[in-house]
Amino acid sequence: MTRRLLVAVAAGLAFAAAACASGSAGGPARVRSAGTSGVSVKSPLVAAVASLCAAEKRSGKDPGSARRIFLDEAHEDLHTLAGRAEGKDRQAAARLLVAMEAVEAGVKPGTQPRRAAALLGTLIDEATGALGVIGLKAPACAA
Amino acid sequence: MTVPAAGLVVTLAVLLSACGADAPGSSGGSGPSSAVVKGGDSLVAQVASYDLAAGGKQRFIVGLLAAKGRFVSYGHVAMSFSYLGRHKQSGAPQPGPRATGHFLEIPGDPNKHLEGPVAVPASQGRGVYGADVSFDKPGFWQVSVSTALNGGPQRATAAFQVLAHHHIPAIGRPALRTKSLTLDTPGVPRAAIDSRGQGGQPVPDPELHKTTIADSIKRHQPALVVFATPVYCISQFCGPITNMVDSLAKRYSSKANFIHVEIWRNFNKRVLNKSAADWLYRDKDLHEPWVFLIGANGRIVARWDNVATAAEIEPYLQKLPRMNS
Repeated sequence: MTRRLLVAVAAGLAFAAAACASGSAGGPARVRSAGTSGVSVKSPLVAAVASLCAAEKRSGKDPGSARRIFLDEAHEDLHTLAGRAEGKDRQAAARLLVAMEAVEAGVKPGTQPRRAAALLGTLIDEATGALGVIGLKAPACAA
Repeated sequence: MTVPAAGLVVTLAVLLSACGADAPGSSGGSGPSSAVVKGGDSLVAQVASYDLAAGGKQRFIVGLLAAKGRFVSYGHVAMSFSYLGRHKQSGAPQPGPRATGHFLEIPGDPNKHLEGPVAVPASQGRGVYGADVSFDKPGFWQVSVSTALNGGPQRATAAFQVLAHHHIPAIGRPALRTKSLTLDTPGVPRAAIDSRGQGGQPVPDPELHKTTIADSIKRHQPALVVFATPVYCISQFCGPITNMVDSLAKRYSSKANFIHVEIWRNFNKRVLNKSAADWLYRDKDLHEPWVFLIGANGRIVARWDNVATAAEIEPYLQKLPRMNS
């Protein structure tokens, strides 16, 4: 086994194990906590979008709380979603990453609620599109 | 430089942010050395260092993740290393060095500074544990990370590769005199200068795009250079680390030049900026973010891979004399 292959295998194992531990595999068929969204969904990637919906709702009163939901319940899985979408539609992945960066930079305590909601709305749209790229359907709130 | 479709991995998600077989991963070379996991309960370790090599002491960083995607943060952990073999594990692990890993906090959100280690959601603190460690030979190594968590001892191990020689410009080596892009570089789209500067958005940190690495070296001035793509980063940390460097620029602009090198010339077309490629693209692979401190003599004084913190960088900046403008 070449060094390159060995490392690749090791890295793959690491990611698989990480997914097992964190419950954040991108694929279907694993149930995890519904988090703030209150929506029980099987794919953590779909759950991440459901959490964005919850964040958007919360942003009208408390952008800081919306940020916490974004960071704690969606951010990591959205990176995973972008990584998965990238292989099939690089531009869709790019749009998702742009929207994520905009939320990360722009949704904070003190952000105007309307602005926060707009940024989160754009992110929901792009995440919905990326889910479609990999054959997953977004939760109803994002429809 | 255009990169092959399947060849490039811009950054490995440090703290297990990726998952499953579809996640991006390392293809070796200088990249994140990473990691197999054997956690007690659900503690997961992943080596976050890029470009470890045999020889003198170097910065080693490892991330820990607990159940439900929580980050293990704050405090310190015990690290013990063992050598597994030149090309693969061959026999019993040979005991190696031990170290105490101190928490290195990702800059950004106001953090709680809790007593640690403690497993917290991302909004309450993200980071890695770092220590200076030397590995006496190249090959495959393992780190065992031990900590008290949830009232009891927990341990996780991760394997990683140590190279014979660094693949990325190392401390003491001459810095590459690349003509990184600036706001004055003609004919360059804003997004190639900073991926956040697209769609009519301004480049958010113009002070990081005033001079090139080559010009800074030519003027015999030190430079702190961050290579990162804040938008297209696969890990979660490129944006916060670029912002951290920008905050240092505001405080230490009299002592060094501060430069941000965007990784992508054109993300959609898979074209890298040449300066980023010259510094970091190895074996059809590129990992970021990286931060380098280049001395007035044009040599690399220090470097920080993946997770860089102001607390690590500031002591170097404080020691620098004021520049002659």
